Amino acid sequence: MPYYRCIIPQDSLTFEQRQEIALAFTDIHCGNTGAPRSFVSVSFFETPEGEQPEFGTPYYLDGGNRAGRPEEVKQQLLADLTQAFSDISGVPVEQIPGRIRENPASWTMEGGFVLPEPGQEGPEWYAAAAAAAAD
Amino acid sequence: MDDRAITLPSPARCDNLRPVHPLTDFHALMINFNCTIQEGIVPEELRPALESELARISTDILGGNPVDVTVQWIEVPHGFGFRGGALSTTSAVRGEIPPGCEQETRVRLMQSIQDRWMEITGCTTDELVVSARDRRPS
Repeated sequence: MPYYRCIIPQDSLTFEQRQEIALAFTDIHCGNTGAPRSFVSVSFFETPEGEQPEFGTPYYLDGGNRAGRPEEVKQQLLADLTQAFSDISGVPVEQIPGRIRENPASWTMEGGFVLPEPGQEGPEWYAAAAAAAAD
Repeated sequence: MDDRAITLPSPARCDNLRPVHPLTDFHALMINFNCTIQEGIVPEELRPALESELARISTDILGGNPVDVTVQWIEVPHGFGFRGGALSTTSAVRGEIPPGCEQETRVRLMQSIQDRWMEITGCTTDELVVSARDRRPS
């Protein structure tokens, strides 16, 4: 479910930087929420030169998560993601706006299961998620 | 779309939806899918079958007319999509459906889409995320 879209200018990041950011986002998301690593998706979308960026700024972090986490967790998550993106890309933090949108967990099926609400993940769900990831 | 194109769900299928006003709320009856796929994972020749199955399944379960179902494809270039920090092979099918759907119906929709998508593409359950979120008021 956690899905982070990074809007970036064309040819602004190397493959190594993108991979490093994806790894950092995975570490940060799982560190803040306890979610399984295999559930964290990160994609990069380049804005072609001369085109208007989707959110009006060259860089933008657009996240989508399960609803129900405390506000301070969400704020910390976004701050940590922004800092990591800045550290790896060299783009100043103030030039990387972002947001995290939320939807009820029950609206998503992943790994063959409807997602549990944050905090409702039982050991059987973690086991099933791990088994699906190992397939 | 004009008013003549409005198609209401049949009575047998609309009990899971909140009441809609046919003239002012017709937008809420539409179903949209946004399919984000990784380059090279879902061949282009499979996409028409996936589109028609998304339309068929969603209108079978939610009601409405298959012609009012839209499917948008977003292909993530190789090297631009990651999952768990590694290159991703995961497809995400994100549906936007009329608000007020009961959870049992929503699960049936997601399960049916998952099953059919896996049959057509040959992907595993771990390579597919399906969601069906309520359309937000416009």
